Amino acid sequence: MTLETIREGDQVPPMSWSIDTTQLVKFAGVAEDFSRQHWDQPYMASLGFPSVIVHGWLTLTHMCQAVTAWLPPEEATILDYDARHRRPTFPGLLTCGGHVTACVQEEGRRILSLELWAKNESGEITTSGTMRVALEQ
Amino acid sequence: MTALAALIEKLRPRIGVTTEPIRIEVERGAIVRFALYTGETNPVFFDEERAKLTRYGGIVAPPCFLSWFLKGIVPDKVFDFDLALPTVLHSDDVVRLGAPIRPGDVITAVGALTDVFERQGRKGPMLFQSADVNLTNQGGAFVGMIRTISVLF
Repeated sequence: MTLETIREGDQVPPMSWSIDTTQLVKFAGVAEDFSRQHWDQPYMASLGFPSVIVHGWLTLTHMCQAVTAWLPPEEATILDYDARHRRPTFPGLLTCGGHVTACVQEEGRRILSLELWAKNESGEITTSGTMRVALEQ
Repeated sequence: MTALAALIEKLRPRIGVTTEPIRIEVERGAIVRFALYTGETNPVFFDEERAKLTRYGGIVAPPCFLSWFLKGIVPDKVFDFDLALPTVLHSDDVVRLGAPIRPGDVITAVGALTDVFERQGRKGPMLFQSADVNLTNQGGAFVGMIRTISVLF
């Protein structure tokens, strides 16, 4: 693939991660986010949740990684992104992907608009979002 | 007035009030650990020697490293989680990225509550709080803006 050939409708190749509580503890450490919903199983059970919840920013990190694996930072600059966490993401298999919704020329650069998603192991979309990426020339 | 409407009335006067600027030095290890523990595979995020050969000329922070600057600002100084609503979840994020964040940068972060509102969810009425955090580096360059929304019920 060369970046010049990317067109509207092209897929962000999906990537998967197996998320367990070890990953959540690691992320809590590096993000310095020690909220109990990400590590305290009895606390989450007391609130009626089946397990601890994956950090929204960890899900978002993996959504960004699906993009940067496809459009490496040497050749593409992420301008902005957004995400809506539609339902809690629980530990398990997480798959992230998306597609190109628009491709425009702006100030001498090609700007791609992407729609992104993260799905749990049942295939439900837990988080959806958009991103704009500038292709460097 | 419902209980949630009363809470919204209580929080509304805080909308737009900015926090004192907080200066945070970004150590190389903070970026490298964030990259490695989240499974980044591109050396531009963790390997100085190889990052030097890229257009960035050295290590830069991965795109979601911005979330690291929320600590100590949004949960402690902007959002009110002491509202007798036991469940707190992350609802939305909007991020704009500016200059890359590099080891040694001193980032100034300023936060503010931007909205408080109620929405009907699967589990009944829910209270949403929205915050903006603006980040600039030691040279005054814009490095990012994060809007993050939390939901309580």
